[in-house]
Amino acid sequence: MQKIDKSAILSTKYKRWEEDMGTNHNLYNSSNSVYYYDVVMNLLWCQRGVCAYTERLLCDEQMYGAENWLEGKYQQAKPEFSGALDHFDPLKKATLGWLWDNFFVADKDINDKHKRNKPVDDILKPDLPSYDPFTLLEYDTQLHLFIANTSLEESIQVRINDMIEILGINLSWVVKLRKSHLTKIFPKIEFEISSWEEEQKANEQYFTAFEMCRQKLA
Amino acid sequence: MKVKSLSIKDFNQFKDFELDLTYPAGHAKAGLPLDKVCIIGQSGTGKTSLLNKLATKPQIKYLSTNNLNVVKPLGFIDFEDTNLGISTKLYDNGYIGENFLKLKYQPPIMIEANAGSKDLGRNLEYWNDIIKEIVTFREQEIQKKLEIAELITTNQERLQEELANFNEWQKNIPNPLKDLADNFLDKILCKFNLRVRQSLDFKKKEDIETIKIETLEGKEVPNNLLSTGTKQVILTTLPLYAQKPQGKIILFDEPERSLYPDIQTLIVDFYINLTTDCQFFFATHSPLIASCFEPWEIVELKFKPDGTVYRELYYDAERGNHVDNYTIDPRYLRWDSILTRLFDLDKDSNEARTRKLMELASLRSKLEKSNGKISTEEKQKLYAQFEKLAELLDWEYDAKN
Repeated sequence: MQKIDKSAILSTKYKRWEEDMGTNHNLYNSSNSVYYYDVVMNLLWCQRGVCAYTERLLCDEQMYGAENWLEGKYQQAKPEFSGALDHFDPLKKATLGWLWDNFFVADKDINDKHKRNKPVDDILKPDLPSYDPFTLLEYDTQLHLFIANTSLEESIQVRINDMIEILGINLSWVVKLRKSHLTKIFPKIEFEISSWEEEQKANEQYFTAFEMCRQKLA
Repeated sequence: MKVKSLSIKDFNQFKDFELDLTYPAGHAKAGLPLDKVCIIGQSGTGKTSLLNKLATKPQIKYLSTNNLNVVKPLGFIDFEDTNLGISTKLYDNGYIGENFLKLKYQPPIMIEANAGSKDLGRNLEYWNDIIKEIVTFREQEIQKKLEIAELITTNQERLQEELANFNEWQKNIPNPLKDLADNFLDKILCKFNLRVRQSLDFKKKEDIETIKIETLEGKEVPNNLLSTGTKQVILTTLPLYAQKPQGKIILFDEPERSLYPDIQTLIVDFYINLTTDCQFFFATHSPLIASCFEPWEIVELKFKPDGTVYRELYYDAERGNHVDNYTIDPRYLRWDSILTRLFDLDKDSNEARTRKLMELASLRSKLEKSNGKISTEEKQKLYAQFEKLAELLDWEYDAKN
């Protein structure tokens, strides 16, 4: 799970509207909001088009590129993307339903079927300054699983591993897709058809797992 | 007679549905009807409906080719008899043209999914046909033995000749019960520790009124104690053994019913070996059954968003239906890959396994980092935990990574 910088606001009209609401947000309703796509596409821009948690590619760069905004408003009527707007902390949805800080775009099945209203721990909130995947996480290159860094305190490891589970990062279908993507890259490097650098440039998803594999296998 | 293609204009969930049932380009049998077809798909996609469609006898309503205009818009089944070189269509509204009459349409044999729920008692379908053959064989055998017995005291020279003839006869005309048992049923029944009883004494009617099953130790098992799986095998075998179908279409719904996985991997070849040049259609939910088919023989039905169904293609349609363009071949996949790639299971295990795998990965990481930091005794303890968990998860350590 990559570190996400959400400070770049392209949907400025939405952001002003959100700030104007203060701590008294309008009821969250994704289907009839004028700002739904503004939020989603701005997040996808910050997330480089991938799911905030699994890093699976959800959207083509053409759809979330900065050229799609005009005067602080996203311009495409119905952009193509496969994902859902996730409230990181579900408890904030009732009163702070439009809070930018609490939003990420996630795989639809993670949002709808897996994470749902499970309580979260900020230890793996990918936009916090304290979040660093290379300090908190490790990647097992055989099992293609993320785990807590085993050099950390046991109690911290438990918190991280619990959050890995809540965010669906190691769900078996997620692991299968990640493994399938990465194991297509490794032989090309092994047989010197391409290099780690070339593959990194071409790579559009699973950035953290890719980098951790590179550190282990290169 | 085999089906080459199927077109359904509008029937339940099938709308403008086209099915090519021939071998693809690049195959040794390219263009010929498939020898066997495996229909898979979620419940409700119409697997059994397709079998029923193929099983429907034609209703002769039109015999004149003048009616072609009437029938053209409707669905049809395209049949071919490769021996006679005749190809013709059976239309939904029953049109049968001249070619169709030449084809000598034979109704398909339908084997229902619930075959094993029936009883092996009296009036067992098809057993009477088999027992007639057995009785005839037995009568001929007794007659020949009597004739030979007479020669013992009268003509030694002819006796040797007749004994040789008798041995030859036995070789050429096998005992039907022995043939059914040794060459077919016992190959499966032996896995259930059972076999067909071959030592019938013919003294009472009850001895031959139904098939008798015994343990491999020779103890007869009453019919009411036979398992559903055993009955499934027997009751699906008898119709094919009795009819000895040749050039027919055979429709099989859920052949895997009540059968253990090892038997499921054998059952397709088992049924095919009971027939000659037949075309089989199996509707199944079993990945093990599906693994017995070439990719072009799989018809995977899937729902469209509007509730109608389509056939999932295993090749890139733009590149064309050629053996080289297929990206899935069930014969080469592991069972778990068949579940995920053919049957669209989106996970390869329960999520409980994932958490245990994370534990395993953590142990591996700790072991890697422990060199020089913990005592050998502590390391051995850690490794014992790793080894135990790896065994529990059936996980093989690959030292290369």
